[in-house]
Amino acid sequence: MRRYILSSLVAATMLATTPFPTWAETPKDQLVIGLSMTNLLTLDPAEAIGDESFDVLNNLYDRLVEMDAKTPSKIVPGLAETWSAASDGTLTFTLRSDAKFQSGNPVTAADVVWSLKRVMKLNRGPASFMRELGYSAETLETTLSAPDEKTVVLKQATKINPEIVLYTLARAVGNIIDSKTVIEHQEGDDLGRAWLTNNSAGSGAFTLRRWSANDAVILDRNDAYWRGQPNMRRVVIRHMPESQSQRLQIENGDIDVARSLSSADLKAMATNKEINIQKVGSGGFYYLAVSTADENFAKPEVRAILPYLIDYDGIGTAVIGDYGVKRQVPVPADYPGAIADPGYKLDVAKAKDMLTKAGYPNGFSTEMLVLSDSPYVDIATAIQGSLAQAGITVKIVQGNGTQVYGKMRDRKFSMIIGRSGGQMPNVLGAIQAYTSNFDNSPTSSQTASLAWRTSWDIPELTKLTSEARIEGDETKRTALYKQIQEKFLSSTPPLFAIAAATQPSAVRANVEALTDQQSRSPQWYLVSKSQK
Amino acid sequence: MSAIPSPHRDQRGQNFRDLASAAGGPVISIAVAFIGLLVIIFFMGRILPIDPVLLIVGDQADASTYQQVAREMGYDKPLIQQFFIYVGDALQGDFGRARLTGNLVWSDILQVFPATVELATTAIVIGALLGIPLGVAAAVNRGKALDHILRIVMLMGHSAPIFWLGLMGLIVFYAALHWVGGSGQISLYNMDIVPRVTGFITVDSLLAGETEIFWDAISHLILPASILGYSSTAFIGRMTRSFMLDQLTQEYVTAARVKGLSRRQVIWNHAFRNIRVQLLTVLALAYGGLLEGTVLIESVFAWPGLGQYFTNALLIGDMNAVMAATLVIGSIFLGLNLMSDILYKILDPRTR
Repeated sequence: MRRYILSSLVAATMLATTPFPTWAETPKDQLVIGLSMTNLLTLDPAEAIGDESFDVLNNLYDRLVEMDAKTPSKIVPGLAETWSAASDGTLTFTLRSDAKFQSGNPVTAADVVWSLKRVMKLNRGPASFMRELGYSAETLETTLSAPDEKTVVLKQATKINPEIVLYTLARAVGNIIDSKTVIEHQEGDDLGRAWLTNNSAGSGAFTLRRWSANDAVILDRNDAYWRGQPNMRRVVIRHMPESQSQRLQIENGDIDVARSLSSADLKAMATNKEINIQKVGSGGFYYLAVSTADENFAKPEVRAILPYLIDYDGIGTAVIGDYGVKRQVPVPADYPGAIADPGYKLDVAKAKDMLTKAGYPNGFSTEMLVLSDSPYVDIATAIQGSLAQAGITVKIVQGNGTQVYGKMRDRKFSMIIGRSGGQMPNVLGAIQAYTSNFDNSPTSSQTASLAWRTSWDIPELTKLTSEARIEGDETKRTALYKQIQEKFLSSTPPLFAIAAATQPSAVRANVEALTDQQSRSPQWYLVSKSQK
Repeated sequence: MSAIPSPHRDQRGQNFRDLASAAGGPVISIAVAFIGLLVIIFFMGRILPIDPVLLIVGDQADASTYQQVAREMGYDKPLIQQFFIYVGDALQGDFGRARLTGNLVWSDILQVFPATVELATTAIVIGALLGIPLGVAAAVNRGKALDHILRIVMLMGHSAPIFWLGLMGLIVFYAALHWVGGSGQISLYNMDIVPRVTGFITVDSLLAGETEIFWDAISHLILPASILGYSSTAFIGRMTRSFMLDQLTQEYVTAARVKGLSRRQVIWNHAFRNIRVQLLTVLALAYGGLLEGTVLIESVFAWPGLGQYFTNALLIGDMNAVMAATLVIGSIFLGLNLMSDILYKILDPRTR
């Protein structure tokens, strides 16, 4: 018997320890990326809403104009070689003649018109961005036209600074689709929605070879790309939900880029010479929001206490790490026209004193909703701790995005730790969600506005924000930007910026022309690998 | 040809009827359980505080988009009407499209399920090959050093968190020793080379004659399968040990020894023979547990199987996918139960 046991143990050990062939180092002509794909739900440009989708779409499709990869605030030509703005704000784009779709069809003005109208007809998430400019499926019929094959004319639906229109068209909503190819795959009147979820019909540097949800996205090089052949033959993106697995793989050289790492893993790799950490500003902010419909936070005296109960320094360094930069105004400090921080510091004694004066000598109890992800929970815990010191007892309730933001959109909350998304790389793009609320009634259509969600009625700030959206003169606009930020801070807002959100990635040192990119969605056609 | 059925034939007919009645009861209970599952899953999906519309349109969407999508999804209809539409569709095999992928839920499940089956089957083979002999060895050497060592090893397999074992396994065997592949089913650069025939990457690579990809797949499979296998070794081993201990104290074992049979013959031909039926249930349960319990290991190893599909669907509140995946898992358990019931009746005449 013993003999059998021994032999089976030996066999088991051998089975478990037989070295199988493994290969470190990814091929020189393939870019391999690891990220959590949980939010990658579609690759249809008219429907995609997550950053992960935008990364892929940015490389499958081109837009009329684009944000410069290194300086995103700079608008550069895309499919439109040139463009001009008339005095009434009408934009006229002249398309380049050498651009072709991956099918071989030439990119025409008709495709541009069809693509943008499609966004509004389908009316999914991205349509909201066009509606902010005053466009709807109906108004586009009269404002958007193609007088000839290479000219696109976009008139204004409401008066707005044309620069804002250009920034919007440079985002994923402005991706231009090969209308002929998509119409061939249309099912009923779905405008190709079912087909485009899993297929691409763009003119971008790469074509979609395969996307299987929660497994991998594989892109093949578009050899006929009008900007020239990309260096990478394939881009392979693999779903890796675990930060530690990503870290092991990038340290081992099995992936080139890791996009969803925890702060702790990023910190651990900071000294690794083979890996660079890239940080891209998103224009968005981690914020604390309180509802002015809540009986406690309806009082400006109570809201005024909160900046003294947020440990900005501690949260900025210990909690957020590579995921953000401490900031108290919801505008990234490096944007032209951004004002300096008001210099709030954690001051429990002062807060207690203010709380007593506000009529709460014994504090009060409340509830805080928070996304059950890092760093949201850590921020919430830190704020819960400092509020407790002043006598405010906070119960933290965790949930996923739809749960937390769902309640916020229903205006049923007291406190929330959330994150705003910068819509344009300028002051207005960062702050307008905080300072614009046209209609404070529950039936308002402006449900994406944080000011509306916090029931914060601010006619004056809304008016200023609208003026800044219209103002074409840069000096006047910058003055308005300053005024909006100052007015926001002095109005005892229910919204508190905690840190400017950044998207960190770990990149192998032999990957070139990626770490210097600063646009939110990378351009992989620029990337190459050195022969180290 | 005689008009009177031969006793042999009659016996065969009786056997068939026995089997049919053995299967009949469970089939009815499966049908009831299936309908129960539908009801529970539907209402759970509606009770959960997840907003499926927001999932599609995103946090930045305005009211116009939100309302249009809610209408398209039928969320403006009364709950009971939504339920009957759902049951009607489900009975026709239509579980709708997964938000996660935009594909029909069934085609998604067919896509991901083979990966889980491949992993779980390898794991159960490892678990049975190690667990049964180790369990027998522990029982035979009851109270001796070997028994204690094996019990500790099995207890560890049962109690160590599989998530932690997975990460440790990756650190040691992948990152430090480079013996096995990292996460995923195969190396990234080997993806999409072998045409999908069965969905089992090891089988498909052999069918395509790609031995290098086959070994790559094995090197990725061996670590997660061994870790899963270890935890089921623990379960199977502990159960085998206790079944064997029961048998070894029976009088027939002593009688067999007295008759002069060797120790090995007594253990394997007599005692072990009698625990086969019980072991079958244990193996079926362990296999079912592996098929639905690979969730954590699939996350650690980025294994594109049902467990990960289910977790992601749940995390984003993709209820169509959650419902279909739950039904698949529920059906697997019901199916395995039915199978072990039938095998029971074949192997053990007393249960007929």
